[in-house]
Amino acid sequence: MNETLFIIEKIFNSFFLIFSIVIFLTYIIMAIISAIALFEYIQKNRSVDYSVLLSSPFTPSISVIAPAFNEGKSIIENTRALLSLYYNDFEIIIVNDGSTDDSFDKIVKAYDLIKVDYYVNMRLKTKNIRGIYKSTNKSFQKLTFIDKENGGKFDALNAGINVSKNDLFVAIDVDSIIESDALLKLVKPFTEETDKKIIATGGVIRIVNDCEIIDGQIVKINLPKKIWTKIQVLEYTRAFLMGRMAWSKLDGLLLISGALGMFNREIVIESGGYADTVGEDMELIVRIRRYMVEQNQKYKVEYIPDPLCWTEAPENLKILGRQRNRWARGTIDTLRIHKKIFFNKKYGKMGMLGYPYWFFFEWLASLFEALGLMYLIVLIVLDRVNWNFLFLMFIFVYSFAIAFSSWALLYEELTFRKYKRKTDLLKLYLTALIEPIIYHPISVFFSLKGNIDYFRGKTGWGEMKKTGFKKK
Amino acid sequence: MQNKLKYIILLLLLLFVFSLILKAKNNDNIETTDSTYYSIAIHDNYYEIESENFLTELANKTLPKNKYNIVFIFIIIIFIITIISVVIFIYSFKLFIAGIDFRKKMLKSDYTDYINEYLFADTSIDEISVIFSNVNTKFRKNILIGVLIELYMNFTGDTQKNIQILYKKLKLDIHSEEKLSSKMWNIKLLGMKELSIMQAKRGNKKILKILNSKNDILRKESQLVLVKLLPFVPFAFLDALEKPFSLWEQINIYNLIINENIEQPEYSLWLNSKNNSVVIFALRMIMDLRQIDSINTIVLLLKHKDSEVRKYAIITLGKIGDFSTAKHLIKMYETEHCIFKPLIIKSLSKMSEPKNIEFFVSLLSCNHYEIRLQSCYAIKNIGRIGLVKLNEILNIENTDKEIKKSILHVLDKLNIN
Repeated sequence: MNETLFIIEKIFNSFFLIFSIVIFLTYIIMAIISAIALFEYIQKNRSVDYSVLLSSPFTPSISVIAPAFNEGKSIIENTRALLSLYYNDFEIIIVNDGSTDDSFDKIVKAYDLIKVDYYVNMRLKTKNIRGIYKSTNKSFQKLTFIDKENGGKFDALNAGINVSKNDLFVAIDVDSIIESDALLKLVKPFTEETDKKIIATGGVIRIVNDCEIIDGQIVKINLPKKIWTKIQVLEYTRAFLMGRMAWSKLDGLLLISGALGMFNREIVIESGGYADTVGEDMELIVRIRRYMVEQNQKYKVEYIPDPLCWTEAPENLKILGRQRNRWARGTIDTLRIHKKIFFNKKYGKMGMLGYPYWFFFEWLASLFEALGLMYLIVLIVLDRVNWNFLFLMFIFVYSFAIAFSSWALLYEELTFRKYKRKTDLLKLYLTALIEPIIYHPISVFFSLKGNIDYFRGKTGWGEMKKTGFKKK
Repeated sequence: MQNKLKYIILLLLLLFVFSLILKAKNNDNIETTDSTYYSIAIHDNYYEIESENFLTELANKTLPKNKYNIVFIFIIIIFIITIISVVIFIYSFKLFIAGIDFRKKMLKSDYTDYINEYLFADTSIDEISVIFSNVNTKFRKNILIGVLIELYMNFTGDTQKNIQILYKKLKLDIHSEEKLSSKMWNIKLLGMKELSIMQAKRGNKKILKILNSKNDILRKESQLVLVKLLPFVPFAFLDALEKPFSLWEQINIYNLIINENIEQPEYSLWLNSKNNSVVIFALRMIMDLRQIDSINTIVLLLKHKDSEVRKYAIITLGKIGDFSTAKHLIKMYETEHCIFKPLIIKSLSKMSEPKNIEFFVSLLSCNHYEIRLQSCYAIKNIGRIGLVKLNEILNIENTDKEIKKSILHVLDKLNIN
């Protein structure tokens, strides 16, 4: 009996050790790759004059699609901010996804909208469109407003795609703040395509909490005051400057954030549009990539490390929990839908690298972590722990986590330096010290709960109550 | 959610306390711990290392017998060193950058004063050359070039010429040219930019070699420089271009042509280029400048092998709007792929020819959304006759619902095609 227990224990020990080493090595490799990619990007774009895109008749036209659900408090201001984006030829499509608040009345009144006879090409199936509105005021000629029955974010985006006229479309969250030159930066890779078709571009999402905003534009960037949001700043910096940058360089990027992304409209339609899942942003990228491979077409998903979009992060655990729960469910759903590409050579780097990474390190890692914690408790109860060694392992993991965060901070400082105050860096360092102890276990718990909810069949988004931006 | 979390933390704490109690009990029962093996450690490979230093001693005495302990301790030390050195590096980097900026600012201010004296006071070019004779490091030379470029961009006429003369007199053009031979592509880029702004032609041969570089940024910059620095044949680069001429490069060239008022050639010269992207650029320029004389060559491109070239030929003919090309487009409509059919109708609709009305009406029964909609627009664009026709179709009871929807869409003034 003791012998069997010993063997089981040995297997578990070896498994956790090997898994941890592999995950650490992967992170280190990714940090190196992202450093190269960042350096290349900065060198390449240092002297780029994006304004040439504004004056050229050759610049591609763009449709900006913003789904809105119960955004009555901010819809007018946010629409104005979208209308004032720097670009010479674009249309803004606001999709009212069956809001139950006063969004509809407010926007119709503010922008002199009237219902038009619009014949929609329903290439993507959506819930019933109640009406399409355009402005009688020439200043708002770019604006189209779709009023439809509630069908979820994916359905609203699909309705927007059906109505959009241009070859490229941008999907955004209407409550996010888009940098005024974001469209110029997103469209540039599309204009650079030669042998490989660019199917999507995305940029870095930053956290807007505690920043000062005037007329939908950020006038002063501040580091969030609350600890949970500060931790998320660190988390976003790591994810966007290291993770996604590295995956973009490896051509294995599987996610462009739903808050801001530009897509080739025809490819998205041909591959079936957005799917009914809570992780519709990731699912779309995987699907369009898969579509291109199956069509034997050369393609690329381009990632721009410039901060292009600012979004409000959850400030309390309750909302954060819902968000992470949804992310976990979205990841599992996408991985399940596209299980065919798992270690499938046909799908190249996506199948052999990108998908397995998400499978093992984005999905299973949190489960293994939870399992590891439970296993540790069992060992403690059975008194089979050498506390000195456990402490050594803890210090090992803890110091790695801080070292990894400090690399991310270094990249941020050497590249975009959005947080200018001298104390900001120190604050972020202090945050990095407490993050692995306080935040990480909670994040694992939320992820675990997301897994449980997914397998129980939960599908909703959960209420995402936001506190609103700080306006000057 | 927070409540549940509290319960879980409480449960973990309870388990922890329970385990401590159990441990205390076990210690009473077991006389020696030597026979106990521990988990979270690899049990094999018993090793004996003499305690040479603190670390090995620490590993040997306090941890279970495991040859990897020392490795873990070393890695931890590396991580801690990384953390501390990154903080130190960031702050010293900030200081370094601030120092460089300060030095640059000082030098820039001095150089600007000297050059202003040369440009607007009595200081002669020889005197200023003597003053600048101490500018002998790359750092200083680059700052001086920067100042000259900044001033050059802010002035016109004789002042600009005097700045150019000074640039050459100080042999800074040689310094810029040397950059073209650098192995670093960003230095090459800088050299090209400097030569281009200061209109120095001495690097043209080297720049011509960069024209087909694998690096797309260098390629783009070389195109811009050549357009600027080859006054008699600014577009000769289009003949030499072997790599695809990306839209980004085309946009930059277009911008340069417009801003620098460069004389436009007949772009039909490149409609037969072997490089399809050059043909598309030529078509775009013809479209923008409405170079009507190119029509016959464009019509020939309707049969081009490359679908993108055909697409732009269709669009260009539409934009030029010459009636004579309508028959070619109608003929093409029958054989062309479904994707291009709406484009052909759109181009035809810009020609607003009444005799095509029946052709457009015949397309209304088509199942394709875009074809139907573009046909309606085409009928509407014909003018009064077209509008009458659309209303006539709309009022026929048997008319298909989809056709009616298309007509209503087109008749709504707020819907722009």
